[in-house]
Amino acid sequence: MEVSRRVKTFAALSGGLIAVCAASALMGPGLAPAASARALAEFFGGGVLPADEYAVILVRLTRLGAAVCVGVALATVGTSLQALLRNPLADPYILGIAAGGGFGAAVATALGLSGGVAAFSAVNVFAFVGALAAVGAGVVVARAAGILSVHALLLAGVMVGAFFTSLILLVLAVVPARDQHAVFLWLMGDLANPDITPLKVGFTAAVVGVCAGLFVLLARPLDLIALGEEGAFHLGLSVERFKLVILGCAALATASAVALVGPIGFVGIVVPHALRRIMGPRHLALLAAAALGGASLVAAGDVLVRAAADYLNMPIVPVGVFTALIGAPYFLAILRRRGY
Amino acid sequence: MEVPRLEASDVYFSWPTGPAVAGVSLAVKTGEMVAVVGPNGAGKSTLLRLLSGYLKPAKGEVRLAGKDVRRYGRRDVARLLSFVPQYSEVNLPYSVSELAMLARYAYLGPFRPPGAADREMVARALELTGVAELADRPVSQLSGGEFQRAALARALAQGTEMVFLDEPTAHLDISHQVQIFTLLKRLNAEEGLTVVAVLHDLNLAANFPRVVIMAQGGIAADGTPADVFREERLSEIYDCAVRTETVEGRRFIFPKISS
Repeated sequence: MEVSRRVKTFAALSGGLIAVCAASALMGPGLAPAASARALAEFFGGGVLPADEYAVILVRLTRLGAAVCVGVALATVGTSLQALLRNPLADPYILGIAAGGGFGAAVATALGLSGGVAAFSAVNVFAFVGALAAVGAGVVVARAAGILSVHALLLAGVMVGAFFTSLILLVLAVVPARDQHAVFLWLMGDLANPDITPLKVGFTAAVVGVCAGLFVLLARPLDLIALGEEGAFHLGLSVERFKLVILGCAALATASAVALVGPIGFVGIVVPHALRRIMGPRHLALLAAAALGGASLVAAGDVLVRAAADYLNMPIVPVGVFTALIGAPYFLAILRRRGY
Repeated sequence: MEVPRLEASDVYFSWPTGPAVAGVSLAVKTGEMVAVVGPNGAGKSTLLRLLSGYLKPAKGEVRLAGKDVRRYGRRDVARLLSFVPQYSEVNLPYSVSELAMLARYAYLGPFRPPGAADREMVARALELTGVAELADRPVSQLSGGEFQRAALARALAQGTEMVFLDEPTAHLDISHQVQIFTLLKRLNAEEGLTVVAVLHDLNLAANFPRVVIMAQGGIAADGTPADVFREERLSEIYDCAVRTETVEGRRFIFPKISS
């Protein structure tokens, strides 16, 4: 019974993801759904497309690819950090990553930097470095005599986050209004940003893929850490090394996602919680389900945002606003039913 | 002469708040059953964690089967000794049998799926500790006594020759205390399980063939209950007037409460 419930959930999540991906690729301005379907068949069949159709398809797939990547990253990182930090409030941004990345992006925007590294713009690079710097600062503070205290890390992360948030506000207070808007859009997590190119998505996908793969390989140690660090140690886990590997992957995957699209909220906390109720506490099944669920949620949020813009003539809202608007009430409903 | 299986030689350890274990030497042979007692803050739990390799001694070393316990691979140690902590925290809703199966990590590692031998070890551990009928129950729904037995089942499923327990009977009523103790005694007699248990209850410790009394980070006495549980010594160590009585060959310890 337990097994069939998991299988059903996997089937539903996979079906949901396929449906959302199809909607995302077929929908939108520039090309009607039927024409889009033909164009997609040509695109993937290696055929030649008219330049305008090719451009439309490429933009849609790039955006979808970014959504899927970011969704997988946030949901698997959230799942892993909730286990590692043994804290139900943990999400990918709990260690100050969003604020650090936001500060980096704000600085790059404010300075009007146009350079970058390889395919990446200054905003991407500064956001990535800022995000990693935030985690790094927390780890340096929380690590003493070769032992990383997760309690200290949590507190340090909150402080680092508050510090960088203040710096973001400082930057916003002094930059011109035009830059303020750009920074705001970025801070909300925006998939409509034309700065997102196929090459960047590909690179992010590679980093996220490696990190998510490592989480899956470490699924059983993630199961063990629920018994506390001392408990896991006595069951045969090299706890300190394990913590550093998980944190390193979490930081890299989250920083890549944030550098690409900005901090999209709530996916990383809602998806693991919702699926843990169905999939149970074991991390192998949970991580796989979370990857599907996270990708579906971000891509679905993006589809809804675009549908609202295309068909209801609403202005484009950053997808991060939408995920939080769906995510928060859903999370509250779960809490209510669970009766904490 | 029998070589000790576990040997601490002149071990020191300090917490940031001050020294906890200072110059302890202790040898435990295979098949021994040792109770470690002493006042709060005497260093009992710290010593147990030094012996298990969880804490690194500031000075001295702990040798397990002839080798520094900190130099083993983690899974190699976990095949030799298991540990039942005082407050087992389990923050995910594992069932009792899932919890016990986690203990097979020492053999399975991160990837190998559990086989028949692993399932058999788990089933046997649940059987021995009397929680077999609770196998599918989430551990979060267990009573204190059931939880402690499930924790012990997990340790037994680890299939080690040595089990360390930190106050396994704290928070348990007398019937569950007796159950846990009787089980340990039986495993010790039948399977040669080596048991090292930190205890607060001196009268429970008096049932162990060997008792180590710790005071102020050192070992104050080490021997049979009859040898170590003496009125003057206990009164001094616990800073409390203590009376002992021997009833049917067993030592009983009472604090004297002035009225």
